[in-house]
Amino acid sequence: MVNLTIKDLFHKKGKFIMILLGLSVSMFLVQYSAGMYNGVLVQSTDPLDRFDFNLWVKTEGDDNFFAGDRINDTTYERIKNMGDVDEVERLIYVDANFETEDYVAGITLIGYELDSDRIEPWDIIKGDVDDLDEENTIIVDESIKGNFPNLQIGDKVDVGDVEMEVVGFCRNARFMFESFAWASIESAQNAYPYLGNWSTSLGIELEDDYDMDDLQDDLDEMYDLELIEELEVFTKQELKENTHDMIINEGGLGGAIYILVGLGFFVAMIIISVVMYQTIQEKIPEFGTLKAIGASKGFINKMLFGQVFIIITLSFIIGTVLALIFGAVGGGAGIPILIDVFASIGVYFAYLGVGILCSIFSINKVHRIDPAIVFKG
Amino acid sequence: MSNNGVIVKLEEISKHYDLGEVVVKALRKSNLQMKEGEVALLMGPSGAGKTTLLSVMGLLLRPTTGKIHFADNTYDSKTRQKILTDTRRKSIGFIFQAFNLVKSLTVIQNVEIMYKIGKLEKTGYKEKCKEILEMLKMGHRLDHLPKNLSGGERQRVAIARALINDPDLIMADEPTGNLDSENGRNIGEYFKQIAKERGTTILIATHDDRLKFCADRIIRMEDGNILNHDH
Repeated sequence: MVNLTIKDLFHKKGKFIMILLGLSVSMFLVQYSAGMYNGVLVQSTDPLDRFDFNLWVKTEGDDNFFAGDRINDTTYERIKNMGDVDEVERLIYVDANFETEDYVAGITLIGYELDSDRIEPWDIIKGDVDDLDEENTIIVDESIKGNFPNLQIGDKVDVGDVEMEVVGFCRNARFMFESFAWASIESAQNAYPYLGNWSTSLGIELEDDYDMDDLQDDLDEMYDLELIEELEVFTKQELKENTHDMIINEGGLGGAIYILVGLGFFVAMIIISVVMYQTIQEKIPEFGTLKAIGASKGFINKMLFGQVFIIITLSFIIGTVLALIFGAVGGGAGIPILIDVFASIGVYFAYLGVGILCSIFSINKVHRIDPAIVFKG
Repeated sequence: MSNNGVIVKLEEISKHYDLGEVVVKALRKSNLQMKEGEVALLMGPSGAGKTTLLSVMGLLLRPTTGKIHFADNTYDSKTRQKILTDTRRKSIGFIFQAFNLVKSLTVIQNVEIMYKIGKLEKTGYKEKCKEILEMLKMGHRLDHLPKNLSGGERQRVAIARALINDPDLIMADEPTGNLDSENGRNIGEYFKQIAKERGTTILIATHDDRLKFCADRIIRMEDGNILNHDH
């Protein structure tokens, strides 16, 4: 049985390779798209995952990590002085221009408290974090060299409205095409001198007997007394989910990925349907013979579904390996391609389902073959 | 085994094809019986009903009316397809003009396939396939694909496949139609030998007069009727 299934499948090698190629490309497309989708989401909240705060305060309406409305330093000071707040740190996470005489690129400027143990740059590959003590200095992700290949430590660049000195390089600190640049809170504030003293988020650690709801109540009270802006408290998880939702829905990522995945499945459906139909048309006399000599319906089902299973399994392996290789080599132009095991298993079974569905029509055609055709020349 | 050595008996068999406006009567209340170990040629002009008779007797088609008594069972227009399929697999062998071997399988695999397509006793089946192929002088080509065989060799593989389930009945349709005279004669010899040694009943639809030497009887057909039985 397995013998006939495999032998029949591999009999016309050229045709088999073409089918395998087509389906593998389709599978690659789906896996790569899904990996990119996953990568964008993970990368978008990578800093949140790395920062050691479980509660974050943002201005009312800023419900995702990217939202950058200002929180005044006065507000920060007032929250810092609340008795039940154990720790609070400012974070600036804002878009800025990174400009030399030759070129200008967009970056994400991250300002943080230099003495923090909870928020700090990661993967420093050149320079020293302590150099950020000096006003108007930055450590920038090495990916910036894609646009500024000659950039070196000591170079002066314009970030926002101020000239800053590059004092180091880090790695794996970027979101999609934008590199991160780290600076002290004060340096980051200098980039936008007209905004005064501000930050975009506050990381908060509370005393044990004081919870998130208590904090929200107290912040609302202070707002009512016009002591601070209207603020909202989020858990890290809430902020992550809101950020992902924003990227998927407002950023159009969801739609783009669904189109790519849909396209991949559509290609697979066409290939499987056409190949199965054509194969069965070619082999009507052979199937007629098998039926005449006593092949059961189950045998024919197993043989043909077995072929679909083999083709899809091989295509899945090839497509996934290709996606992993392309992901590792190209990195999705800055986006990590993260192929999730469970999502992959889902893709595999979805393909099997599509394969079986698209084969049913052709396999039914085999069941309708009259075995008496074998005596009709 | 049925009465007086009769292995298969067609009783008032008709087969009609309803083509919408026209009903083609391919078989008209035909009666026929064959004994164990008998070789019969089924002859007649094209359109006489030979193929339909082979198909009905080989349980590939259900008759419109009438009964087929075969190996202690009776089959008619209402017999379930699964029963017909199981009976064909267990008790009937088929040989075709175009050999109808599975192109992707080797010689031995084309014979072994009978054990893969349904429930046949599998003990020692590989040796049995080999033995039959050796008997048909195909032992030296077990691992060859059909495309690498001559017409005569392909037909011998088809005969091996038809014999492997120890059938009571073999239905052969123009088995020498694609063979030269020497190979045609050899195939006739095999039929004779198989019928004699194994007691297999063989019905051969053919236009080939050269096969007469191997037949116990010639059945002539015309317009869906069995005309006579020459011995």
